[in-house]
Amino acid sequence: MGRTARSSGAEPRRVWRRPARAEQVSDLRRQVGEFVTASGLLSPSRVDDLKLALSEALTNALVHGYRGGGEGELVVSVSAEDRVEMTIEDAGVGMTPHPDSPGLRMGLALIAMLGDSLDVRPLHPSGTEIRVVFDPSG
Amino acid sequence: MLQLNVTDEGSGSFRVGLVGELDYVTAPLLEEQIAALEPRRPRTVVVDLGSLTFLDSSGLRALLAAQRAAGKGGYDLVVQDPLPQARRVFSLTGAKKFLNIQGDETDPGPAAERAAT
Repeated sequence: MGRTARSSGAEPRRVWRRPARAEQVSDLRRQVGEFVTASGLLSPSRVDDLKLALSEALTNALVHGYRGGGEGELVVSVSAEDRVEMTIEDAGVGMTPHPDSPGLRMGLALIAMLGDSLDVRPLHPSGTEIRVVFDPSG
Repeated sequence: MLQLNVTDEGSGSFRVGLVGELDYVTAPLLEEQIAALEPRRPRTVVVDLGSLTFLDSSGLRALLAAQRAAGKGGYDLVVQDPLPQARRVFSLTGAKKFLNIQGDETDPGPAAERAAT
């Protein structure tokens, strides 16, 4: 039933936990991109889409969730078995709009366009979870 | 990370080559560079994306801000040779309508990729 693109012995799931700092975003994009590429589930352009979705989600977490600064964590979980499921969690104050947003206030809309499905839910006692799924390419 | 290479090509023409990634962290560097060129009264600023490997909406906002600055400053801003990833961002967001994009327009998004297989 499942695809077997990933080479045997490769791990199907990985979790990255990082301090909620902007300089982490580029490194997370690179590491998650390498992990998903190794799965063989997504074409190179779909891996680019996933990295873009990740960047938007992490930026949202930093700009909206942790906008007051302070200590926090970014947690990215990716499973790559029959399809690629990526979850981005923060423990910030949630995704309320604020006027100093550095983007175009279209991060979530972009993620929705890039992925095959998107779920966003609040976490308790605080934070947001964004889950985006990419079906296998081709 | 992002490296900016600025070249004075004469006759009021400047080229700003972006090498690396334009995102939340690096977007302010582009905005600062564009602002730094304005006292030199440019006629044309070419933002060369031929070596830009990643663009997100924060980076796009900086490009659109540069476009706005050019309009206000009375000079032309050209976005040159974006790679497919950046072209996809322009296409998904509709930003290509607002930017003067020059270069190869081939845009191998997933649909084209599927069609080719």
